[in-house]
Amino acid sequence: MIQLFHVTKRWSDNPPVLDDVTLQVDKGEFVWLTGPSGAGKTTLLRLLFCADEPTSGQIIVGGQNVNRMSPRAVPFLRRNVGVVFQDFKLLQNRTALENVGFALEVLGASDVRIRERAQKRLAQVGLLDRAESLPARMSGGEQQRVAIARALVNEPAILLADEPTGNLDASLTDSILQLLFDANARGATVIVATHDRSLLQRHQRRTIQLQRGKVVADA
Amino acid sequence: MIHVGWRLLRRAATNLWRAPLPSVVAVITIGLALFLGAALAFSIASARALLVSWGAQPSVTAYLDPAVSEEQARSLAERLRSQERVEVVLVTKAAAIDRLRVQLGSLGGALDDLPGNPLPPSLEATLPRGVDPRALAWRISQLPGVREVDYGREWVDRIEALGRALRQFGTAALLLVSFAALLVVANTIRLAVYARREEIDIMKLVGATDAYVRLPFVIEGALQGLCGAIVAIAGLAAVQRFVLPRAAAAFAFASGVPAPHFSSAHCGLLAAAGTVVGLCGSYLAVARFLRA
Repeated sequence: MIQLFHVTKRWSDNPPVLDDVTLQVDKGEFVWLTGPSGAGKTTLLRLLFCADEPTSGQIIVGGQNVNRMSPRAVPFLRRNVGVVFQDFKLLQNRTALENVGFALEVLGASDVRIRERAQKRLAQVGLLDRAESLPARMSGGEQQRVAIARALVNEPAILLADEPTGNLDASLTDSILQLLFDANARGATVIVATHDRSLLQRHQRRTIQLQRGKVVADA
Repeated sequence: MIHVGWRLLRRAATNLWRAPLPSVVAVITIGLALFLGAALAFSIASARALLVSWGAQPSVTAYLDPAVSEEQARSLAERLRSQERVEVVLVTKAAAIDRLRVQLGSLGGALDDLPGNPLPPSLEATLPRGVDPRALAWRISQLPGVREVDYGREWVDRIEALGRALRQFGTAALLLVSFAALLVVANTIRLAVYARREEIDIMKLVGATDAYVRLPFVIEGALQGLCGAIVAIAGLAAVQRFVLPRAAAAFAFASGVPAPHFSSAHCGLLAAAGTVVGLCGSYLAVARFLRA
């Protein structure tokens, strides 16, 4: 599903943020991406959803070589990749339902279909009763659940999460992770970047460890 | 496809409603720019109309040889009328001195002391619109018995030079105002777009194409431009109604023709200009963010 071949990312003359990374993630896998701050976790995820381009190396996502992809094709790749951020990235002037439905709007879905599917996703993350709430009136955990609902509403084949529990307390962390495990159980390939080692110990899955841009462990 | 277009239009209207302050600033900026541009264009057009009216009916006076008899002068006048299709008045030697006597008023008696009448007979031709006084003066000067032709050359030349200068100045000023307006509008809309850069990021993140991201902003820009044009039209209508009547009366008095007025065609032109300026401004503003 995801393949990286000797991928290096460097900003001008600075040391590489990612240094000759080669890895493969199969369809339906759940992978922890871990390492200290500055190890290159976020950069690696950004390369996967084409927010940045690699300095060298090849990246294949869902069978498509992103290096050879035209800028016009990027939005279509992103429709198959759900992304969840630590800071949620929700539109503050839209309700939870509108935020989730936003990802369907760009596909040209009808209003009825958008409403149905957005409500279904909000129900899955336990927030149907908050559908008409604005993000500012929701807790951090609720906002992250809305962000996950938005990432999943298109039923993407790949789900990327960058420190999705970084701003949440322990009790909320487990409920958020459960949503990611559920998505994985439904068939999505999930990569979660985290520096929280306790998560890895509690939920043992394949773990790729990055340090100074290099893969130092993959088990 | 229709529901997508309707949704984008609805979203544009909603965004305008949800963020009224940047929208109001953009509308006022566009309105002011259009008002100033239209007022400038209107002033220049009026000034040109005034000049044209002043220079439109110059007269050509042909002074005849004093030896030309009144019969010959009448024949010349008739020839001019038929050849050039102009109105011609024959001023005989006697009529000329009578006219001078009237003009001199109380000093007119001095003319009685002259040994004879020194004034030549003349033909006064009034030109219809569009006839070049220089060409006509030259043709008249070629007629037999014509000694000198005067068509107020300096006056006509000055008016024409002034008209040319006004046209050049007007074109340059309009270009400058239009360019400045577009810059101001693009920057104002850019600020509004900048305030919503996060929304653009999120739209791109969930897979929106550049066209899909751009369209609501462009629709908003066009709506703001249209609203700005309505503001400008309202301002111009108010000026025309409350400020211009006196100026229009003075114009009519000075030119002899009715003052130009702001018509519904001008309103349509202004509305179209506002919409295009808003559309282009927002397109440029969003394009920059999409490239980033």
